[in-house]
Amino acid sequence: MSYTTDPARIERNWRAITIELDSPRPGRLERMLQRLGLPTDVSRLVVATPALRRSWFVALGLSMLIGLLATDAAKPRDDLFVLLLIAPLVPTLGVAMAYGSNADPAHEVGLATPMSGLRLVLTRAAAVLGFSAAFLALISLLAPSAPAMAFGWLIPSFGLCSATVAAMTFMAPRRAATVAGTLWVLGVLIARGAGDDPLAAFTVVGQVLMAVVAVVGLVVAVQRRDRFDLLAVR
Amino acid sequence: MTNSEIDAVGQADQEDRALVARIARRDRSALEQLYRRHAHWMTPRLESRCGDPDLVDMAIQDTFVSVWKSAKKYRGDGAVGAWLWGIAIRRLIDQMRKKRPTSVDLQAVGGLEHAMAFEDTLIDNGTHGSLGVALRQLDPDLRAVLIATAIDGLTTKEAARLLGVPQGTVKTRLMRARQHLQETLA
Repeated sequence: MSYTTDPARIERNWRAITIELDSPRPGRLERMLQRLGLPTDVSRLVVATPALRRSWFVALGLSMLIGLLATDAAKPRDDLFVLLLIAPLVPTLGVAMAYGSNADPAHEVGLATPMSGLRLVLTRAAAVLGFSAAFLALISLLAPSAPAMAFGWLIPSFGLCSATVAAMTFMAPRRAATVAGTLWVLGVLIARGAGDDPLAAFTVVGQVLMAVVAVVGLVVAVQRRDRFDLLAVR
Repeated sequence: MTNSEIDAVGQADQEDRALVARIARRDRSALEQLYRRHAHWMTPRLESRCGDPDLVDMAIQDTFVSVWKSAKKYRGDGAVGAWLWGIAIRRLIDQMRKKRPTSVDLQAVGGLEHAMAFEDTLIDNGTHGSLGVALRQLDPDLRAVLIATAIDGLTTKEAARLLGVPQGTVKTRLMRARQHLQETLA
């Protein structure tokens, strides 16, 4: 019995094997995303999102946790207030830090690619929002009083991120996040001062309002999407 | 096989085992040696299972990439060649699952016929005695199922994927093949 294979083919396959062995292996997160069914380009894009660096999350997580533990457990609605006030700012900052020449070393290179800036912004915003939400959910479970209200930050987070993305068509990402975040904090404080309930901003009316902001922000961003493809000198 | 031939096979397998042990210790040159010792027979044998040479190439590559990653898992309870074949045939099925193989004109691919005929020559050689005769008389469809399960060691599910027929068909064919063999060998 004789088996013969073209020697050139043997060589070709060996070269392919060495290339495969030498090529860098995607990180654990990237492989996990791919297993969840994300295409390779999107998973790489998500993993390369600057705001998703581990240090960033650790720092934020620790500071929020400490803030939560330091609040007076005798007044559970007060520490809930702190959590609900700060939580939507986490993904908002993340979204601002995931795009633009300040945050992303590959920003200019990205502008030169045929992929639209809006798609990049939204992919990364979704990634940041998804990770932040998962992470905030964990912290919420640790809240001393963890009723359903502890998850009241979810819709406001969507609204605030969406508003930030919309504002990014008018100004630099950092300023956009600052403006949106400031308005948010002011709004919540005003709502608190107006009534007896410290959590006034997170009742049904507030939630619906933030949902509307989320939709409007997205519409504005899509309408003005050309702005994402410009290299603004900022 | 004569005794000296059996000794030679045992000797070759001892060398293979040493190579696998070195691969487990991250020795790239051992992987290359193992590849060069086995790729030349694995390629045509895979081609006898699948008509698309590109898929076969990818299966071969995947096989040795996973050998590199999982050499530690080789338990040594069978010849290294058999272990490699077990990986290779499953990698081929993985490739075929991703992309349905295109049909290849057998007349146009001269070398392939040779490869296809491999199992047949083995049978014709009389190596298997009266079993070989019985196998030769078997309907090609039944023989393919028997080869996939008995020689390649696949499950009926895997064989179904390899041959592109439903699992139930594989089971029926396997049963019929067994009946045929029993009748002929009786």
